[in-house]
Amino acid sequence: MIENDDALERLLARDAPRPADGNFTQRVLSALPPRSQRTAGWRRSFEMATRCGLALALLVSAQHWYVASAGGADTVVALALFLAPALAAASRLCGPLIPRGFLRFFRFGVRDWR
Amino acid sequence: MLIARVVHDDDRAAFGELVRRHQPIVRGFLRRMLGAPSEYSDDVAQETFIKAHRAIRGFRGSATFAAWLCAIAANELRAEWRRRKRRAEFDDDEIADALPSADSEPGVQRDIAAGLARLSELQRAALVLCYEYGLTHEEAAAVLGCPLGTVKSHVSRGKARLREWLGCQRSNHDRK
Repeated sequence: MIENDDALERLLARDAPRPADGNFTQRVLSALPPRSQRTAGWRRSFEMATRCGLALALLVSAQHWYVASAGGADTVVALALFLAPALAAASRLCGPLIPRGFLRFFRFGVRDWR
Repeated sequence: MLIARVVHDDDRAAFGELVRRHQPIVRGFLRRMLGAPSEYSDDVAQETFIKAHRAIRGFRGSATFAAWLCAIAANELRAEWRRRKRRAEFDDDEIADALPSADSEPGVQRDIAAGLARLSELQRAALVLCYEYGLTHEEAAAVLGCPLGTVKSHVSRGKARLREWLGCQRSNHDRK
């Protein structure tokens, strides 16, 4: 049936699913935001800035706590116990506090294909 | 021209034409990657086009529009997988839901879909993009965020495994 790679390539090209219908086009067009919402980009930037601010506020309060207290390993543990659930709860409520694109930068462009 | 009309005038008819032209590749790619039911992959395809509309000002024309859309679709695919924490494990009946072309044998269609589903996600994505939808290896590498050599090696291994699978299926059919 498949004598060589060329035959396989031809078969794949021939049998590829190519779904197309007008209903899908209409569905996409009706799901687009109305024209008046062109400021969505500004809103996204505002949301992202708010999240970053929230993350920063948590970190700064943790730092103040550390400076105000005696310091040492027990303070670090107490801070970690406070910060971990606080950051998790904030991420849960407000979305990711650190943009995914920023994290991807540190993975050197490797995409997550699990 | 259509893209310029969408960017400058937010021309919905022009965007509709872009959707009409490119939906076979985007929906087909997602259907191959996500399997059945097709409503599920069409939801992701719809989200892909909405994101494309939002980001179309950023399209610089360094790749084809189809490859740019596929890159957005691949991002949506990863996001969907992350959201649902769903491993791409499909059974043969679900995979065969992909639409057959008019002149192909249903058995071959089914075998190809099942064979593709047995490949790793990157092998499948590379084969589907390069051979089913005609992207170049360079475009597929950009879509998948991999080095060119990695894509070539996935394509080569994927083809070998798919040929082996189709050969086994053929032998099984002949025995019956």
